Amino acid sequence: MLLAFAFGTTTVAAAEPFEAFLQTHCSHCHGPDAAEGDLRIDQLSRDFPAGHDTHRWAEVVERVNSGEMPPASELQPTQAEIASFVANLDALIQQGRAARMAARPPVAHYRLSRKEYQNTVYDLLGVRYDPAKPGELNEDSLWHGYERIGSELSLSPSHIDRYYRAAGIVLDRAFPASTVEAKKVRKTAVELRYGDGKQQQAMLDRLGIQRPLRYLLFPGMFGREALSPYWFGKPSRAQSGLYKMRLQASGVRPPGGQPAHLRIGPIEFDVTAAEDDPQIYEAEAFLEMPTHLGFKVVATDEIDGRRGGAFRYQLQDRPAYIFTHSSETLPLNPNAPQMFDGDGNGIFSTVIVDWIEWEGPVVSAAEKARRDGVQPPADAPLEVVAEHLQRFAERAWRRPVTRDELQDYLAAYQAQREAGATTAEAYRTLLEGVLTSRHFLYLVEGDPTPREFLTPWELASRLSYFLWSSMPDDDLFAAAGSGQLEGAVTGGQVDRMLADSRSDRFLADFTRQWLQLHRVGMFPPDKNLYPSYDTWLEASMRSEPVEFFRELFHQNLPIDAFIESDWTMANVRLCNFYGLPEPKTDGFHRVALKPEHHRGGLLTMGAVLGLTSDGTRHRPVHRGVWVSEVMFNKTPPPPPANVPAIEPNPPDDPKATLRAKLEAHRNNAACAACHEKIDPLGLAWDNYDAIGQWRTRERVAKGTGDNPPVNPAGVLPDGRAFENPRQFKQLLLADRDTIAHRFIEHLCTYALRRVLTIDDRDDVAAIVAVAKENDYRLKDIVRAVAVSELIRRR
Amino acid sequence: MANILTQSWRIDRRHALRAMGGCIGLPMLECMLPARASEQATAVMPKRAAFIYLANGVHSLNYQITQAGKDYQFSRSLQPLEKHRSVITPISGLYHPGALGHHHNCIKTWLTGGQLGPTDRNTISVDQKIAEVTAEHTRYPSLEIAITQDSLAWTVDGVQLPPLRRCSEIFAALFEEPKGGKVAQRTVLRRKGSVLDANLAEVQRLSSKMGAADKGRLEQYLTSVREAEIRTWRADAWLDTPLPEISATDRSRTNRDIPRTQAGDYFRTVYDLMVLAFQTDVVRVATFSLGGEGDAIAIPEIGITESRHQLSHHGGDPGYMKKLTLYDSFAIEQFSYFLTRLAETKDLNGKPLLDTTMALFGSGMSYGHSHGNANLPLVLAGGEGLGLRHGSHLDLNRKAADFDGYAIGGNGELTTKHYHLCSRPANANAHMSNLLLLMAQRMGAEIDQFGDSNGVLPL
Repeated sequence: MLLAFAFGTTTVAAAEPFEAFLQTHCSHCHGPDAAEGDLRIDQLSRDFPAGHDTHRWAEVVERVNSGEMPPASELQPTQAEIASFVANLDALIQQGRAARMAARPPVAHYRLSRKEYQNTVYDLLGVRYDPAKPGELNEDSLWHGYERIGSELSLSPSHIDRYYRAAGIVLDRAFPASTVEAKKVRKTAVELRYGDGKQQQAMLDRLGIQRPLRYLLFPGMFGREALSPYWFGKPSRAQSGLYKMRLQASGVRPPGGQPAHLRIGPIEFDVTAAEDDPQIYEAEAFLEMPTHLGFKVVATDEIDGRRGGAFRYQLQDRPAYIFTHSSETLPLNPNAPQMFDGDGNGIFSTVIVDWIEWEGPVVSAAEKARRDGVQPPADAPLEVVAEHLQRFAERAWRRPVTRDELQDYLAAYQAQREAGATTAEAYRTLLEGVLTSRHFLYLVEGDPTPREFLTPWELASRLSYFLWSSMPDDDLFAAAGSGQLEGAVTGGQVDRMLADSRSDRFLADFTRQWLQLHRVGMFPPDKNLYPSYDTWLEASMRSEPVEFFRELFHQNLPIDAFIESDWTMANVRLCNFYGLPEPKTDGFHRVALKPEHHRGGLLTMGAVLGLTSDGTRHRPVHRGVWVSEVMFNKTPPPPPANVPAIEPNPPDDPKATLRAKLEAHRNNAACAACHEKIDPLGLAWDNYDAIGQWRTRERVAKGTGDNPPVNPAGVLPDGRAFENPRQFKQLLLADRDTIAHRFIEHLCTYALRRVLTIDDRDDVAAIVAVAKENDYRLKDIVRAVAVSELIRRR
Repeated sequence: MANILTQSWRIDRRHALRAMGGCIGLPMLECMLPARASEQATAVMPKRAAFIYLANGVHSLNYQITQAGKDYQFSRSLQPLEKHRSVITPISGLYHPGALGHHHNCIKTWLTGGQLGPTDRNTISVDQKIAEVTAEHTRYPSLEIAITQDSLAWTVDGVQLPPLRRCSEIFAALFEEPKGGKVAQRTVLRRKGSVLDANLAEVQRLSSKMGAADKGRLEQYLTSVREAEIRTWRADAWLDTPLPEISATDRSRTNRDIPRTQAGDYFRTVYDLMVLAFQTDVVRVATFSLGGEGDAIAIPEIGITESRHQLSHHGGDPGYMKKLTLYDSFAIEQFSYFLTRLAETKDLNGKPLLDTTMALFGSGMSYGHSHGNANLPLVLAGGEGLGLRHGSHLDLNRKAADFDGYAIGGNGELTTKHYHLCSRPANANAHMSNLLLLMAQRMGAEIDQFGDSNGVLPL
């Protein structure tokens, strides 16, 4: 990623160490005397920032790295020589790339990510729009997990088409042709499950059962409606909006089994209320209508087709299945499969629903207020139209706008008016123009005449997209306009922004991108090997590091907790998975950790251990690369192409750990050179399997003898040894200055939307110094970046 | 349906300008040009190309054909293509140098021959290169389909195009009248055109102010808006041409949603839609990913409940290897169905559609378990009317000087030594881009280089 700091210079001096290696091992075949393979190394460009021969240099690294070059007939370099050659050359290649990625033309354009677009249209017009829905905006291309690196976010005609379409949807929602009145709809268990319920009630009466009918939901059930667009009138897109849900329900779980977990479209939660003491659950969600939502109970133990279709059919489809209480299912359904044991314990995790209530689409007064004054009155004269347009463009483009800049739009307006369009129709074209302009879609920084620092307006946007993932608010605009965003005064605005609830977006967005959480679940774990893994566990795992980061931030704790902590943030499902005492209520809570839990810090979280595995096996090398990238901001040189895979253990060999096979596999000097640096960082986590469960023995599918014991010991590249993950963490903590420094680099890359280069070194060092004074406390670090000299630079 | 393939849609330029009102300064649209003299003289038949991607490679030991030339024997997995022997060419030994060692990212460069890396931008995919010459003739420039994950198509800026997934969605995109009828649609397009025009004017002014300075992203924004605007006007022009009529049978067969659990029906219906699109000449180039590298669908109907990615990491498990082979031949059988449909369907001149349609089937990986990206499994079919000559196994491995034959064991079957060939190219010069270049040239692209090609594949 960023090696510039580790290796001193930007310009390549003639005496780069790799030259000596080339001279000794390469030049006599690939030089002036014999240009074998049409390669003359002496003629390759040494100007790495310009990148003329990057691919050829990369191939040189590749050939040497793989041991193909120099050929066996020639003098062979030692492992140490190969290592330093590869490291030196790779660093120069990466440094050159970084310089190209960070290059800023006089006017730089940084496109908004999808998330930022979503937040911006909400903050601008109070409109909820989900750009990640299929058919909406294109996915952002990632760079080491980051969604917002300017040099990565490109644009094609298809993007323009989609932005245009999105602008139309956003404006339709802000200024609907006809408004859909919010409606409150309540459906009882009888309506949801039993139709008119008369037949079932007659049955209850006959048996003398007093309890009311309830609706039993079980895992593996499908197709049962929880929300229908017809409940809110004629289904249409105009129904899209915020819906509030209330639901009364109880949960049943098998002894020692998972808590009942209910998912209704984007809403999900654990149902922990006891059968006889139902609770009302409330949630809200933005729904793109028309849509149907179903009830889904998420648990690993499902009643699926493999248990026999009849089993599910009897519970789900057969109209005769009646539920009131676990103690009354047998008399009511004598021939149906039993879902409870004699003591009222569930055999499966189930949810019992009494009623569900929806209210929507809800538009708050605050949301409506953002649309005030955007549209001119009907038949407004051109001057008034122009004033309205200018005001809107200033908010949308996040800076003062001159009338001159709007002339093309106003000309289009006039042409449309002359062709017979109404003010509103023609004005809509203007709004579409503003929302598809480069000034809206990109953060535009700079002028045709180059300058070193941002304008106050540019700084306002940089800060708000850093801390809020969205546009500046009125206060911040006012501050930019009145000279309060210069020098030390910025601090007041930054403090206000950090205290604002919109900073939640930063906490979630930065953590996801920094830790590469998009990789969680990318290769779904094998169901046979990991039966306890399900989508709710995965979602919980994905939330844990974010919640952890949030807690660190709000408590302003030192960043040592990234490495080791005696607490984590967990919900019922995660506590259940980690073997921690379960909290009583839904949601994430701070829970204490003891040494025997084998958790603490980011590195031993399920999400991190899972995303560095392949769904079947843990991947020590991937884990090492992740630690190197995320904790040390350093991407190891790429592996040579197509290294043969580690083959599975043969059935008649003794069972061996992946580590043992990896070591046997790494038999040539070229491989060992790099792996010695990467592998210890990953092997330290061998006590955790592919979904992050603690183990002391590695399960090996085939082979003779017992499953082999795990060996998590190792030696860091600098020679310090460790016996287990706990000691490894202690060694990392001893390096807290380095860890803090690298973290600050990550934060700056995120804030600046570009890769750092050697030129940023002094500015970053200044931030590090401030952070150190404050004992590397997280909130202080974020603040230090936000008020730094670096962030004000172009 | 006889009128479908006429050029009745070529619009009169005066008519178009009248319709566009005050918009001037637009580039002259290709579709407004009189049909080129050369085309009129030779009455050029449409040429088509389809690219079909199978993720995660194949079970190489059951896939590889080991004899070169005309008298080759079909391998177990390729058996379903035996009946098309005379119109197909299985190709062995090709690879993308830029994809070596890039694991599952190979899908990204399968049609581009580009480079992958943290700062490398992908390059244009061959279907888009082809669309540059075919788009002017058809209602839609190209068709991108992927059942799961990403499409195979990349723009000249290295930006991935979004795919269509569901059959009803594909049908609607190709054959449904736009919402609200022609007049409403025209109003919408005109408004879009004038919005884009205003944005374009603004950015052009800045661009000229900046002169020769580095414009960075500005350039990309400018070309994208300009292209989007051209497409808007082109769509406007097409509004006057009636959509092809689709018979009730075709409509009911293809315009429906098929659950992913019915993979065979799903694959075949997408192929039907591609045949229909080619036959009605609404598009001439299509890409179809049967599923992404991480998430290619299971096939419950033949007892495969695992994802293809999971099967490909079989770890030597005989059960998994058997299922992987089964999956391979199932997918190849559906491809064979596509060829059959193309052969049965008549083009305007009464010849089979297959005659002017090239179809490439294959993967960017060969040995999935260790992410081997060499010796790619590829089959090129059709297009004899475009000058392709089929009937042989084109084996580039055998053209390597130091290739000493396939690793065949005592029982006559390939041994696991064969995996090495699937990871390390035997013939370093056998770039897959050479094949893509061949296809682009046969489609009329006037280029002599594509991706990292170092020649044209002789076929």
